[in-house]
Amino acid sequence: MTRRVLRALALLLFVTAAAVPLSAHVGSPDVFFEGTAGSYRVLVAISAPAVVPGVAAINVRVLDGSPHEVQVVPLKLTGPGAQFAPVSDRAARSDVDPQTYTANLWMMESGAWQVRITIDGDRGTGQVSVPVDALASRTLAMDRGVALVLLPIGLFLVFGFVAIVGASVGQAQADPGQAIAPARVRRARIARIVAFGVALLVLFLSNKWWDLEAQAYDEKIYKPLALQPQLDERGWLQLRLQDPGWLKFRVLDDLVPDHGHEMHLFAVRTPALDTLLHLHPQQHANGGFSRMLPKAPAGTYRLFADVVHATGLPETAVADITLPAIDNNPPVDDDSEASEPAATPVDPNRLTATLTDGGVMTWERERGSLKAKQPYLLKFRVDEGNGTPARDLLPYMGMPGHAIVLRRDLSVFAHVHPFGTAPMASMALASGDASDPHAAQMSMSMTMPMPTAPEALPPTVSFPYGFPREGDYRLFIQVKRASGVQTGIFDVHVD
Amino acid sequence: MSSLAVPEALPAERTRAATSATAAAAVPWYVWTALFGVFSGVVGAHWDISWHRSIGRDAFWTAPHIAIYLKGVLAGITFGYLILSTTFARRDATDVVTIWGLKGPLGAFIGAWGGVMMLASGPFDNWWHDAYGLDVKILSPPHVMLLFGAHAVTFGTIALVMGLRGRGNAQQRQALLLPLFLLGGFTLVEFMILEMEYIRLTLMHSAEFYRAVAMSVPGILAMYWIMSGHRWACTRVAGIYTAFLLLMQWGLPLFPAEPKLGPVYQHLTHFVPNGFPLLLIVPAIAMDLVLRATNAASRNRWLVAAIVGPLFVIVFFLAQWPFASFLMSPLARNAIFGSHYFSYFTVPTSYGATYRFYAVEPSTMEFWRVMAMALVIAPISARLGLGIGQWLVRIKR
Repeated sequence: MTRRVLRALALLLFVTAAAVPLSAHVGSPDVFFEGTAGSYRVLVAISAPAVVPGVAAINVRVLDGSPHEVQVVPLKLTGPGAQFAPVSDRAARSDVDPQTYTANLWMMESGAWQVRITIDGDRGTGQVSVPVDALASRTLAMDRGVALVLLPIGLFLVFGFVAIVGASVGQAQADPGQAIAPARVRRARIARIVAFGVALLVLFLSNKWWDLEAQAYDEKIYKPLALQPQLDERGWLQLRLQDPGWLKFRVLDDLVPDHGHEMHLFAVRTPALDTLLHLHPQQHANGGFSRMLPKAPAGTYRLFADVVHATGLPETAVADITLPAIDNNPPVDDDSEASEPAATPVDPNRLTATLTDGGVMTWERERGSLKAKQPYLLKFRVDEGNGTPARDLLPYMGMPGHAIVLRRDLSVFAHVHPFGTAPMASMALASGDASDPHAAQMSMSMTMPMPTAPEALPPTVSFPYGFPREGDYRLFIQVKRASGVQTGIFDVHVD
Repeated sequence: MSSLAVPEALPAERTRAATSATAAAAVPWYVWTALFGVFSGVVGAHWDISWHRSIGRDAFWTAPHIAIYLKGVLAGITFGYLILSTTFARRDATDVVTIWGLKGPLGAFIGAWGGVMMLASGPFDNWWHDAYGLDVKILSPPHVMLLFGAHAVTFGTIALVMGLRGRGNAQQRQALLLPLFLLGGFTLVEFMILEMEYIRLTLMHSAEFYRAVAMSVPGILAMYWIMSGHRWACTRVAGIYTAFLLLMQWGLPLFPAEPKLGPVYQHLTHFVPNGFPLLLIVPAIAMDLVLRATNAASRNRWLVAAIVGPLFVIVFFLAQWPFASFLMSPLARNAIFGSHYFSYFTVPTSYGATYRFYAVEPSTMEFWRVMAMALVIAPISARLGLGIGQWLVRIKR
């Protein structure tokens, strides 16, 4: 393709690229974590509050050891609010599973939080902090039951008010025993009419005020960063993050590296979800990123751009872009590209995926569908083509694997690691000295379940995750082998 | 109520001691129960606000909530009893009003209406928290509904007392002064709670603060002056307000409390009180003197209001402005003045925590514009207070 054609195309694409606003970890606000608290292995599920201030539901499953007591406490992830902890809450032991503990915690402000979990038991005391984002996502409409209770009371109050005002200027001022003079009766009638008018006016103004309050609240509802993608004439993707206006603490000049990259960009070809590009655009200006596109088929791609703020707040910006066939070099550095072998039907019961290097990835689970809102450890095994377990798995950006979860209609997107859904940068802030994000960055290697030398990892990798709602999902499971990054593509139905 | 009221008149030769004993008896039991409800309400409200500032986490069955709802319960029992007993046991009573076939003193109807309002705010507030999150402010629509209902219960109690005074003899009128002044002090406390977001220490060098105070206090004081006919009514009412707030200011920090909500920005171990009382007593004294001098009860009420309104603002400004400077100084950071108490959620860099005044008005011009508004609003408030007071004086049932 000549440069001129490319430039014209790029211009056209810039105009048609639509920014689609959705929230961080799109449609999948709950947090899942698997890791260790001291000598205890835990699986934690936190359902983030939908209103702020609001309640987060904490579920801690202690996978080994015998806990006596589990305590949970919420703190901000960074800043002065991370210094003093409120009184811890004792989590309640589940009647069904004695290893599971649950608690509810209030989160009073929007932003990045952490839940500090302390376990006491036969293996001593263990502690771990799990990052959670409190982002208001909705308001409720008036419940019919509440309305049915309030409406008659409201009518009683209005007519009661009218009657009392009437009595107060009429009967009440007459001497005891004295008949009510016609003048007073007349005055009472006028007073009742005026009182009714006043009541209507008060109701009208209250309704206006209610609207204003609701509007003020709507302004607190999370608005994700906007993303403007554009293909330039060199075949590079140019990205611009823009703040559509939300709470003041969100800025664009505070992005911190997550696995060594300031942005993780996932481009998935729609509607088939048959091609995934996992790229790492570099920031050249505040909110301005670019990256060379690797070889990729033409089509419309949904872009999910993951970034992490210095406060520990992760965000996912979303946009669509239509690309011509890209004929560049294969992916470089940590970038990767995965395409589904042509004409593979969507099959939620297919539990194996052939890798491009001849290996096979197997999803170790029962056939059939999974359940929504249920924490799972999604487990995958990599074998050589001849069936022997793979012995050459390497850390991919410091992780044994990366899972990308997409609902078929793209309303859910989650980027999950073996320790869970929180980005590594937020995890580092939660586990380190939270008042100093740089110190936290330094300490993360101590707490992350990853080897420091590139020696071979076990052939299985697991991801703690719960699907937010029913539907058909596609999973891209990425691992790194001696042959390069390999991606297993799986489908699953969730009830 | 004749069955509950005292004998028509007392022989003049009775001793002073006997008089005071009978005077106590001249106040029927239901005035005391209703008054205790009002007291419980203001204690509960201050305690609850302190709870939110110190512990944070809320539940329905907290002690301060019980104190607040006790007001509704006592109102329900007292006013409900008055209405039902009159309707069914004294069908021929003539010292009552009839509403929807029910008979009872006007104050009982107002108070019962307020009780219903208080109760109705409960489910509304619950829904509000589900929809918009826990409100960290006082003035949300369901809270205003609760406060309005609570005010109506107080107002009903005032009307009840005024009805008794309206048809009582001199002795009874005298005996009912104490409940009336207590009600006055609690009314001031209630209004100051309503305006709490506008009258905090950091705003005391802004005109908005003076405007907020000018809106309610001159009216309340004038109302009680007219209602009681007492030469020191304003002073007494402001004195009860001051005593009550000092009790809260010095009492609350004696009880342990620690935050159960994050983020926690201030380390604290005891309940934080809600601030030193405003120096309302100073302009109250001035109002008493001027109201007496102008012979307010018999004069043109607009004229009287036009004098005492601005007088209130000016005297209050002269007293509170320097006192606010003192409260911001290190000298006030002790158990007496309590400027060192902060909510657990007070950010360390905030105006309050760094002892700085926040200027609401961006310019001097704007400051004086709002101040001028305060000078206009105060007489309107005073006139309203005189009017409502005069109307309550005329209540006989």
